[in-house]
Amino acid sequence: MPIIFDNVTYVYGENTPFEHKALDGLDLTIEENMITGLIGQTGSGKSTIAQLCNGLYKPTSGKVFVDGEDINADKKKKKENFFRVGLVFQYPEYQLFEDTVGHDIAYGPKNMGLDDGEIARRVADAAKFVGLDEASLEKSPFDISGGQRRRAAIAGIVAMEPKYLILDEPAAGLDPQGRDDILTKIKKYQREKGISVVIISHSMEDMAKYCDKIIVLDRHGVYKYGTKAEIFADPHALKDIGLSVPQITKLMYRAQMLGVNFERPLYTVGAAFEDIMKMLDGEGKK
Amino acid sequence: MIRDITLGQYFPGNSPIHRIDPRMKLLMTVIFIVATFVASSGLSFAVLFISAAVLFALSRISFKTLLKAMKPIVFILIFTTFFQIFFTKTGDLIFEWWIIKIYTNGIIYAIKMFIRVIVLITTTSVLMSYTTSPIALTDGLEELLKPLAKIGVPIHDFALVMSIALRFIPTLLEETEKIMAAQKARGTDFSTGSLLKRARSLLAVFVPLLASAIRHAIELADAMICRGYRGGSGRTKLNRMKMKFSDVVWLVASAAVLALCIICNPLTLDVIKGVFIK
Amino acid sequence: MENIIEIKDLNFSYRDSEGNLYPALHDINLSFGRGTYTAILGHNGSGKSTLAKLINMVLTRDDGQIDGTIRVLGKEITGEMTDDDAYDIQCRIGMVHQNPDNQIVATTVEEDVAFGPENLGKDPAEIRRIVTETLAAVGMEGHEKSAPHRLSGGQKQRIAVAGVLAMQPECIIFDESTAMLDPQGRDAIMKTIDELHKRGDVTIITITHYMNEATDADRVIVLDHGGVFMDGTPEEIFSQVEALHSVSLDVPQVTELFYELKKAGRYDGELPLHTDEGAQALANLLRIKR
Repeated sequence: MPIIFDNVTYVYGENTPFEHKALDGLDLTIEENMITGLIGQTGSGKSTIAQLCNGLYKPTSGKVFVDGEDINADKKKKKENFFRVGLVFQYPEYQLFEDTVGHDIAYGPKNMGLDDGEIARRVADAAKFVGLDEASLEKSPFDISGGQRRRAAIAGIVAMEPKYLILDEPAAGLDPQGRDDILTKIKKYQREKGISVVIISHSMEDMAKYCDKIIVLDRHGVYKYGTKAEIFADPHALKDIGLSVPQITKLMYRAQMLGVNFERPLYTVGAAFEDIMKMLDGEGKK
Repeated sequence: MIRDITLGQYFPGNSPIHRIDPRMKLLMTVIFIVATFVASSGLSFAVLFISAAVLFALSRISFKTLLKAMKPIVFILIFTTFFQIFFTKTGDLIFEWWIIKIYTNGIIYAIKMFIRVIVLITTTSVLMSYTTSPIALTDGLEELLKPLAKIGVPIHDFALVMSIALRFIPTLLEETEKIMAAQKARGTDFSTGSLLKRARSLLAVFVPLLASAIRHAIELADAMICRGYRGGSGRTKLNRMKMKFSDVVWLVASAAVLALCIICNPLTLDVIKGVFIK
Repeated sequence: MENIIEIKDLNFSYRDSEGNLYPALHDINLSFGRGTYTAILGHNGSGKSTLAKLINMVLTRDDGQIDGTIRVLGKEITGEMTDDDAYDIQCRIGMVHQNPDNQIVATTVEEDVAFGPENLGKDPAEIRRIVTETLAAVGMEGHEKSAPHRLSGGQKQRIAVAGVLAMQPECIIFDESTAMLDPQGRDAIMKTIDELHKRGDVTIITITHYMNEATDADRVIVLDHGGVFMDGTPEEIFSQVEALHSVSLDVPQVTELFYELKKAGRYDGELPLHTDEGAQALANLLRIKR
């Protein structure tokens, strides 16, 4: 089922001199069973939305529904919701604390009160998914490489087997291969399990490559919610709210100004290549 | 967000009190503390109360804010006042009901105690915490204690440690908030369960926080070396504190308040009354 | 051109507390001319940060085994040096690190920028002039009294750059200085670097794995497994798409597209690095006249 925001307002530091409205009457339905990209400038409320989804934040007013339930209605179910909506924070490797990587991945499932056999299965599955071998599960989280630590931290959330998975900048600071590696794995995981995944990112290139739909936020809330083609159709508007389009899309627009016409908005190298080839072939036939 | 918390209770502003040199403010605070303890007669208390009120008025701090500073000690204040009123058994009996007997001295002591505490809180918070940034206080203290450096006390290093601590407190608070949120999202329960369980939950925050603090320290040390830091010797300062004439006036005025308190001590209100009535 | 840094036959291995050695760099021969702008690329663990830390002496013989020589500003920093000489070199080679939070010492912007000149024992009036100048150079004038923790990541990093600039260094190394920033912050830092380069008196070395940040440099060096894998102009380097892929690096999307077209036999010019050249090349390719 989708995650639904019904007229949600969230105010930081209410009744302090630093009161600041992060969200104002947000209505949003995050569709299920796909990868949704959440993008917007720093301060547009991306992380606030993430923490409202799993109940870490409680709306100042309005309601958040997950699986059709108002997640803030019953205080006793608070914890349950953390397990239902897994949230991977930015730079999650900094939250590792157990003596071994394996124990750290097991921390979430343990808090769920699962039995040992189930915990072991989930740790093994999660480690396999992120590509950590058995030897590294025995190591201290402080003794493995930065990239491995990132993967261990993500495995710690995946091991809770949440129905909804939200990742805040999962690839930040990784090198190109590390980025592709982790994002490809997340996409594969989503496709296999059929869960709903939300990825928060600053990288339009990554959004174009890995997401099915994109939510663009500006300072007033949802600026646009749609397919990639819809989102990238107007690069100038995105620029106005401080965002950019993938470099390849920029190229297409520049070329258009020079008189080249494309049939559809292009946002991946693959699609651009295909279309250009078609155009070249078409001309060849003439 | 947590980073919006102001350190200490400093309220930026540009009142006459804000502009006093931090060194002078430190000295003035000491003088006022001495004065509150020296004062004993009604008249010297009146002097104290009026000067504290003047400082407060000049600082342009709202009354509400001042009340906030009083909040933590309200209970003690009420308790001691109550204690003074009901348990002092000297002076004239002025009220009696059942076992409660109130004497004049009880009332007088209570009022004095009350004024003493109020003045103490008002002057220290108006002079220091509300109008002086923590960093200015650190600098002021460093300057005042500079002579100690001559006998080998590492004043500069203490001051640097203090200011780096002040610099990193907001950063570490923000990180604590993030780590706690992240661990909560993994089902950590910080508020229920046995003591052992809760201690374990805190470990999930403490270990990453410690690791982060160490990382900050190592990288900061590198950055400081890259920027030519090698101890306090030979260092100059961008903002040197300059004593203004008005700063001296403030100090003299505070000293005058203290002197006045001492002078007024032997004089009771009755003497003054006598003078005027004549 | 005078070389500000010269590295000859450099090998470096980290030493752990038990004395075990872990090779990090091997057979490095590089020199950097005064006023040049070089980008060093490489995936995580390729040795690029190690190289930077050796150049400005954050890593020394205490941290591992150094063979070969590094000469910085004419002094051999890998040999015997007095503390004063080492200090002098260190002050003349600035470094901007990844995490802006770990470079800011003071509680106000101006005091932080002043930290370096204060250490150098400069006169307060002179320090004030430097603070004003460097804050203007990074576009942060007017923030003198701000508290660093209230600034955005990009603003903080610009303060860190100003802090390094205030030392008036002859060379600045940017060690993945944009990795933790959002696109706006990244753009601001890249613009600052560009302006510094235009001034011409500072030698710039950036260490990055964002390909788009390397296209503006005069020269690109690719490190892999502790050795120099490629060294040339951005055009030369990014035309070798296959080789870059083999060391887990990307090329800009524009370059990638033309590389694919070239592979398909539809394009035979130089591979463009920027959108402008790319659009022009595309227009020419599709033979459409304006």
